[in-house]
Amino acid sequence: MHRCVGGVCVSLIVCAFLTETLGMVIAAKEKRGWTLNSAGYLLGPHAIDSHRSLSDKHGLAGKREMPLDEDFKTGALRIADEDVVHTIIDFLSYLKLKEIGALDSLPSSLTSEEISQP
Amino acid sequence: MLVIMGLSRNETVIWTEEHMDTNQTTDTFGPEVVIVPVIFGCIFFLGIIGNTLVMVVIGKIKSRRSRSTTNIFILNLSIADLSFLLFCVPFQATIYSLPEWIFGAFLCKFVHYFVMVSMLVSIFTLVAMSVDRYIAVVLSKKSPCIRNRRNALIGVCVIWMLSFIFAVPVAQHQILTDHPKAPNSTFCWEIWTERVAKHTYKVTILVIGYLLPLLLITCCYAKVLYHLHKKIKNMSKKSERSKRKTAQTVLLVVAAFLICWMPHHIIAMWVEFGQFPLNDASFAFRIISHCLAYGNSCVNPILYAFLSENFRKACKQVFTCRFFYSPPPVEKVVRIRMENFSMTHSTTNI
Repeated sequence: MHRCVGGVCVSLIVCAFLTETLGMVIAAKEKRGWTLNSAGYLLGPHAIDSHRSLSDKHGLAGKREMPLDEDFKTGALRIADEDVVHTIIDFLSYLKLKEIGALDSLPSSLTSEEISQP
Repeated sequence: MLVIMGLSRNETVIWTEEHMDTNQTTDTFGPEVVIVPVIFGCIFFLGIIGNTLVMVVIGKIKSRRSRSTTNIFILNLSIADLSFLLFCVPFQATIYSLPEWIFGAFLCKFVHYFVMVSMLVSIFTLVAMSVDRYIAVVLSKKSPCIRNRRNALIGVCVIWMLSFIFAVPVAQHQILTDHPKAPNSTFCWEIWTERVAKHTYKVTILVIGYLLPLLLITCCYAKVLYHLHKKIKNMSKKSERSKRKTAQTVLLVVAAFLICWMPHHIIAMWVEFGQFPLNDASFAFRIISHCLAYGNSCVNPILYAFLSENFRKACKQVFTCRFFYSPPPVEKVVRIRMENFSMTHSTTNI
């Protein structure tokens, strides 16, 4: 019985360390990584806005061939859709938000904006 | 007119690509969607088994030992670690496997509030146990007056009250929100209106939740070891072995606490005062910090309970009683064991 308990303890320790080691190894192989959910959870909305602008640039550089095809598809969809007005409104809202985002990315304006908030 | 049209086209392209990114994130099954919950699940079950076993064994003991201050703190530690695993692991795993928060506004506040509470209770209990051992070993003459059930229970109440109070800002600022890049999704994020207040709170948690506890634990155990070292000359070989075991346990405890919580606090300070990068390496580092923090709740029952010879004897006794309870002659044997048990306990106290 004494040996059994000892064995249980040892196996618990081994399992714990193996699990953590496994976690490290597998985590190191992650490719997809951060999502809007996990990044915002850690950094908060303001910081993630500035980060997203960086990732957007990277995305643009990586997808130069895609825009042409998507442009055609989007055009076709827009002609067919009856929600053209809704789409335009969303797009205009996005433009405003992007302006705010552009301001946030600059350190001086970020500081001034934070001062104005409270 | 032509210039305006050109600009609008560029903007359209950018917007479309970002929308695609969102879709890709939602549609494709990345490995982290499966792997992260599995890893967290393993730690979860290990912790549940270990802490539950501790609670069962201590609850079953009906001798004087169940009243000892050490067992009260061990029990409280298991309750805190169990709460931490139950309220932290399942929900935080979804941060990495789901695109949004799906549990509603109440759980958004309560889960993160209780994550902070149980984390602080766990850490404060480790400190209390270090102080308890210091009093037992170094202040052995005054020990009977100080180390009693009443004082231990008072300590436990103070620990929980302090933890509830210090965690209040989390409940205030952890709110359900949305984001322009995912208009139909809701997120459970921490949003502070004043950056200075956030900085102050994060540093406070670092100090009272890591640096100060680490200092206190290290000092208490250092004095314990120093005191035992002095006594080495008067001790027999058995006592010397006991001293070595104590030293090993002490080092393991401090090392486990130091290692398990360091990455978590490094990331917290990095986010707060630096520019935390979002890349593959930082993602791995973040996952590791979670695994280690959870791992501490798994390791605690092993370090404090199962490595203790007395606890193993108690464990053996509890399960032995279950098997051989009915025959009357065995009861006498059990009584004899309990007598030996109490003698061993008193020896350890000295």
